[in-house]
Amino acid sequence: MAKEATKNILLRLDPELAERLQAVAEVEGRSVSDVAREAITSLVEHRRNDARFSLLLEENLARHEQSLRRLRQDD
Amino acid sequence: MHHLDLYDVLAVVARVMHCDPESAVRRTDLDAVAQVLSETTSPLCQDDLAEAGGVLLSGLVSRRPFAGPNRTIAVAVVLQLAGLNNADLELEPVEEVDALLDRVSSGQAPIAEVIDVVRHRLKCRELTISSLGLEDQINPEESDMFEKFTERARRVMVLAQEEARNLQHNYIGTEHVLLAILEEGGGTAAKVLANLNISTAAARAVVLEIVGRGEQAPAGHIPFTPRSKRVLEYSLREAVQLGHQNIGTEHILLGIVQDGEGVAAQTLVKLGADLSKVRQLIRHRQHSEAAVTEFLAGDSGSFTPKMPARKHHLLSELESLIDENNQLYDQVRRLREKLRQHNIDPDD
Repeated sequence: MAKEATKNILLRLDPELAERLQAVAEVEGRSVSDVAREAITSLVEHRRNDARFSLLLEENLARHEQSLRRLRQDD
Repeated sequence: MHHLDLYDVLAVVARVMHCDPESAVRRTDLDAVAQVLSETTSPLCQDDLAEAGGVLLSGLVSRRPFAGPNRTIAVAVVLQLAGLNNADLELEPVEEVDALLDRVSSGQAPIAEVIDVVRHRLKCRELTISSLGLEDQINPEESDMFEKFTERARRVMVLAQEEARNLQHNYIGTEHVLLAILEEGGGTAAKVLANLNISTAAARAVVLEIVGRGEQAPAGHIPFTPRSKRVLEYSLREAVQLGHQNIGTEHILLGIVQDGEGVAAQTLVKLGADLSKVRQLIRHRQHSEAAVTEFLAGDSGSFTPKMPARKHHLLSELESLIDENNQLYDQVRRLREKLRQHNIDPDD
């Protein structure tokens, strides 16, 4: 299970993408994981800005709020 | 079927945990999530929402990839998968869900059981303007109009948005509606266009020739152009004039033909279609389909009283032919989706 203070990212990448990340990291003088984290973050942000996706998510969470709140936690 | 990707899941994590994307990334075991997501797109789950939902729920609960309320996030992710596929998941009674997820956590619930539970709790939602994400693009009068669209015509509207996005256009023009009709492939309009030897690939090539590709994929909703809105209004008028209760893909194509000047109409002409011939073919097809429907309903005076045995035989032949035809269309659509998921252009 992921921990609150986790800093390492483990993600399998296809070799071509890994190479591109490596190249960007070298050019910008940053670590590959830093570049990868930034790329992932920006894609997540893009998804959050998708109005349909966000509207649906808000509707889902609002409709099932009580049920979700009552779910037991397994951790 | 719409599948989730890693970024969709992380967006749900960020929302449920009220944190920013970076924090959501840090609090998630990305590898575990990617692994579970890859299992939801296996051939078994490809076209089965319950199967994909069950695999997703089971995987996220058993592997616990989220540092935080893992179970809540896992269920929210499955709710989002259902919602994106115009379905909803019944969570009540929540105690039963909890009991199942407890057993999933301890490795005691086989995946088939989770899939079964998801299947029984999935409910199809009625397609609405809101679920199509079109509510802020059209005025109230038009909103009434969309409610009259057949399910297939609504799917065309969704595909039109995707066509615009794929071509990196920040508007939905008549050309995107035409491409969506062809892409959807199963409606009367697509069949008429197929009879005229107009394929999706050929139409897309002409559209690109006329308007080109945009420079950047638009984010969020894409608005209809005034002309494409007019085409949709024409489609409503066509349906009303023909005495039809709903707007189908054939009415949309009639709207394109009536407009006559948009990129869609230009594309049809460039592909050798005579617009009056398109109209004629649609009407002809509508008459044929109405006659078949009438016949199947037993209202055909020429057959009913005289030859009941023959009618019965013809009816079953006709019904199986129609079923077979519909199944073939569905199979073709599924195959096209699969090819596209593997980055293969189905029209190439």
